[in-house]
Amino acid sequence: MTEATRAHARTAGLKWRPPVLAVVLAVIGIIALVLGILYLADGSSLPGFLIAGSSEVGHGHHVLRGIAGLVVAAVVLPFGWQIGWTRARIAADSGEWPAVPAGRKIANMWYWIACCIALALVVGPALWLVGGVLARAVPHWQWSVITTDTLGDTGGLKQAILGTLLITLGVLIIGGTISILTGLYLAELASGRLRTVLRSGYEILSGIPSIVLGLVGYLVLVSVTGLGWRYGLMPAVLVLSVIVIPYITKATETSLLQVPTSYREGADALGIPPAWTLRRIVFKSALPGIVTGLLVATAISVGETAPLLYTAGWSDFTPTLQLTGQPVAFLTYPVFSFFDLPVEGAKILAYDAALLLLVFVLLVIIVGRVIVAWSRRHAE
Amino acid sequence: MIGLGGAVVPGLVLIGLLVELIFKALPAIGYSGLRFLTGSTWNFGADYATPVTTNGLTHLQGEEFGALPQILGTLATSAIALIIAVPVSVGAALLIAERLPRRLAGIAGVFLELLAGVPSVLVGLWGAVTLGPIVARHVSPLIAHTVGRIPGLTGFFGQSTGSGQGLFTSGLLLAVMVIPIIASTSRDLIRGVPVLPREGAVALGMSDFECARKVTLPWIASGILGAVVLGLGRALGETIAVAMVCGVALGSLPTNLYGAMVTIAANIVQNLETAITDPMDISAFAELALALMVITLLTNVVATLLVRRVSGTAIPVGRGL
Repeated sequence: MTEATRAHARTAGLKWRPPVLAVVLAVIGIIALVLGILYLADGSSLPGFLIAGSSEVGHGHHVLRGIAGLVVAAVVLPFGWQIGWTRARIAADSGEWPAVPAGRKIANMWYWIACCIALALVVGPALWLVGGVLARAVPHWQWSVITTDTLGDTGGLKQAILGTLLITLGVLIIGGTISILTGLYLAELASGRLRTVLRSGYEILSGIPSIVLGLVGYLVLVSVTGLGWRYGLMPAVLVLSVIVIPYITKATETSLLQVPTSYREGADALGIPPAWTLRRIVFKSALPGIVTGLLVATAISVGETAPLLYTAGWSDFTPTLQLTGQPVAFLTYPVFSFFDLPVEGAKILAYDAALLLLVFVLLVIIVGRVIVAWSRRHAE
Repeated sequence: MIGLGGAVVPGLVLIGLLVELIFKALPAIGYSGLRFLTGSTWNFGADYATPVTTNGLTHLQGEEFGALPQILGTLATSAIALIIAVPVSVGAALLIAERLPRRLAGIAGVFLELLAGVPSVLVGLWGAVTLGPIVARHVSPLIAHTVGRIPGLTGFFGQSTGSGQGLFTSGLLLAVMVIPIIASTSRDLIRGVPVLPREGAVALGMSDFECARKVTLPWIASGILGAVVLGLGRALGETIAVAMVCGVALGSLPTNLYGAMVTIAANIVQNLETAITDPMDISAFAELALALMVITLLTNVVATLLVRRVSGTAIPVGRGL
């Protein structure tokens, strides 16, 4: 109740009655808040609770009670405030019902509280995930990890890093070429039914789970009943290329279609040949979009695990450029296979690989943002 | 011409994929028939015994492929994921698009991007090492003690709460992976709602809640449905993260929410190695992959039809504003 409404109530000659329900709710809310904070403080191992969930989680129930207390406070306090405020308004408006009924206001407040909880449920796991990996990986991190090969289930990750880089490079060359050509053709040259058919081709492809592609890659390329290439660089690159084709194609096509018609018309009016226009003007202004698509493809080919398990295999040796018949290591493998081994060194290796992957993801996000910002600045 | 050469690649790959899978799955289809869809026993057969021949098909002794638990597991985990992810994503998107100041909205966007970009093996690692034990220790008992006490729900929500490797954890993990897809699409859609109908709603005295419920959300309903289906596609096909937290219980349905189970994708990635030695096992895996593909494609078709129907009726104000 602000000073103004109180003054208003006074001049209206009304006797102000304390809103009992509001006071009760406020008291309950404050008690819940205090209890929640106390329980959380008593838990005293919140970081441990969030990271480990293993041995040091003796006070977990306290933490849970603490959180429950905070939630109750968050729900009850605004309620009390709202009711009290409404009562004050009723008093101030000399007994008249306020323009907006309390029920609607409270519903609105509930709505925003629910939205805030939803956002917390989005941001919370993201922070928790990143923090959890960092907290486990950083204390054991040694730079020698990136200079030594894996030895059984200990050692370093050099060959895995190189393998992932090789595979990604291959994917960008093969998958990138095919997708950019496809996008170019769909946006610039194809028309009518042909375009619809070709486009639905890659759209359906984008809906197929990567494990299915991995399995087919194994059956066709790796297995002796297929081409019999055995585990190696080429099967991995081909399967991942198929996985990333929809993403790059989509990015290429949409960014080409977004190039303003006036660019083409202007070039046409100046008598520039169509091929030249396409290469120097249209393609150039679509480039940021295409690069973003390639970036997404890089992120996918570095982060994929399932389709690589049965196409790339795994090896302890530095990869060569031999395309078939020689297994290639990749960075997601140790995370998947080493994390629950009983050997401490293997676990550390799994978390080192996880840390490298995480750093890479952050890098991709930053580069993507830079490209978007740069292209926006150069848009005019 | 080169462009056309590139453009037919996706289609050719798609056709090749289908042909190869159907061709490879034929022996298993002939061997197990409808039991594949109705049976719940999965047996790789005796590797070292002499193979036997029934109906002209050579196979290992005791081989049996009943994929019902896997199919149901795939659908159940995705359902749990969507039940959690849809309200959370839409709520967060509303807050980001309508209330948060520009700078905070940008930061929230970075979190969405981060969550979407984290490799699924890292999500799986977090689920197996951190989330799973916490779910088993605190969350599952909490649900079992509260919801599990309501008569009628005891069977599914109550009883033993398991080890944290199972249906519930898989669903939670999938929700985490699906949220960024639905949330970022919804956010962009909400930002795209024209300002006039919303101003109209405010002028009529609607609160934020009423405006969102009666104007903003109906306006973008079909778009949100599209985003949900996109997320569903990811949830159905997600492999490695689920394989790390589902407990890989082949051939039996979980008795309650917390029980160990397996999805089609998780089974393929975890057990292909076992199957490699026997052609009939491989064939059964091809049939599994085919089933997964049919499920995902069916979802997409249904979604396209739904989107068409919804967009015809749900927009309250004319689009010509």
